[in-house]
Amino acid sequence: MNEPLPDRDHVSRYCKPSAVDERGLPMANAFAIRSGESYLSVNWLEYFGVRGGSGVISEREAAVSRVREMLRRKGFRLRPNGRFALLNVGEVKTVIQRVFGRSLHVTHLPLPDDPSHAGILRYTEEDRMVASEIGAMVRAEDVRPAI
Amino acid sequence: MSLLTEKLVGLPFGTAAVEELLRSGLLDANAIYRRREIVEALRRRFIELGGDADTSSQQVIVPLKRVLEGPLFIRIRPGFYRYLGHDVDDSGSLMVRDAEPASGEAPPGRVGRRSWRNQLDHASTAEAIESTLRLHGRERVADRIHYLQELARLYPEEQPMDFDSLWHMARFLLEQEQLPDPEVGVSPDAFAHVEWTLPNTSDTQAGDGLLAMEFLPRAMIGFAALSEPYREGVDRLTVHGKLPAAEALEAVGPFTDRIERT
Repeated sequence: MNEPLPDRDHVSRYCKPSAVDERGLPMANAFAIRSGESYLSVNWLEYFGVRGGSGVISEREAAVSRVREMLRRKGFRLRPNGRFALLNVGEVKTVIQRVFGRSLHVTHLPLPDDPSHAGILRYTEEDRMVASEIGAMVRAEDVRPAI
Repeated sequence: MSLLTEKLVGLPFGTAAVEELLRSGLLDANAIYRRREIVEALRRRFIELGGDADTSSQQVIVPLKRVLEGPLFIRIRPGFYRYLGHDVDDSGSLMVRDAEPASGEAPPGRVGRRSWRNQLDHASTAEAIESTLRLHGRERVADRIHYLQELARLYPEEQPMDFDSLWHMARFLLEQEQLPDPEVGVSPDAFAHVEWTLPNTSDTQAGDGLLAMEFLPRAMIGFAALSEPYREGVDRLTVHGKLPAAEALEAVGPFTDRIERT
């Protein structure tokens, strides 16, 4: 419970349409935290059994599909212009550590109806630069449609 | 001239001193000037009045930038300003210097600064702001705001943009007409969020940079910018903070220089 995720693993962040630009790419506000929230909600993709090796890409697609299903099942509305941004856990932690000298934690925070739920912890709603650094990490090939 | 005298005691002088110098008849009302002419005229007059003989143009530029955004001037096009003075002549007759044509100077789709200001000051709904933006050369931004408002109307998880934040964003984009249309979004706290992609001109083959701004209540802007994504061992430029609009714009100057409209 609440264990740190391995650096080699990946998380997906659902980006609402109001945080997706006209090119279909997530904006920095997709990685910003609302006042009062203590972490950025994400889903752990390897939770579904996806690991490195052959067939990683299709396995990752399968994991994103499982996240879609799970979010829908818990009543979360995914929208056509929303997107999933995929992030590597180690990359996020390394970049923030090197740039800000600060350790972000990426932790498994399972919920009864969302067992792959995880969080990126230790930044606040004031940390626009952290959100922007994470946003800049997302390449077009790391983006998946919401539905 | 008491204010000016007071300000003359120390440098850098402030916005009020610059305004007073201008109002003292330094420039002809309704004439169009290059910004560097205004700077030089201010510098000379300041020295004539007993200011430090070593006063540099750079010391004049900072307070002047604020005054140029105020009611004493209308920007005609980048680097050129029409001086209105304190007795603005609304007849439309202009004295023109440097053989710069007075008409046809405004970029297409843009009416005057004063007309959008008046319209924006009276805007009491998001639709009115949208319409002001549309009328004054920010059609794409207006379309995007319309889309974002529609999202909030249709989807309960989306929030309508905070009105004050939207208003300040509109004012900023109309004032800073040299900036291209940004991507516009809504922050988790329902504030207007704008973003420009900064083309990476270095030979590092890294991705593009980013300039993001969030328009907070009370006319503050939260900003973050990076010249390119982080890469081990590669130097890059970053800046972030929370400042009033004019200062925020100055802080991100090295980034906006890369995205200004041509």
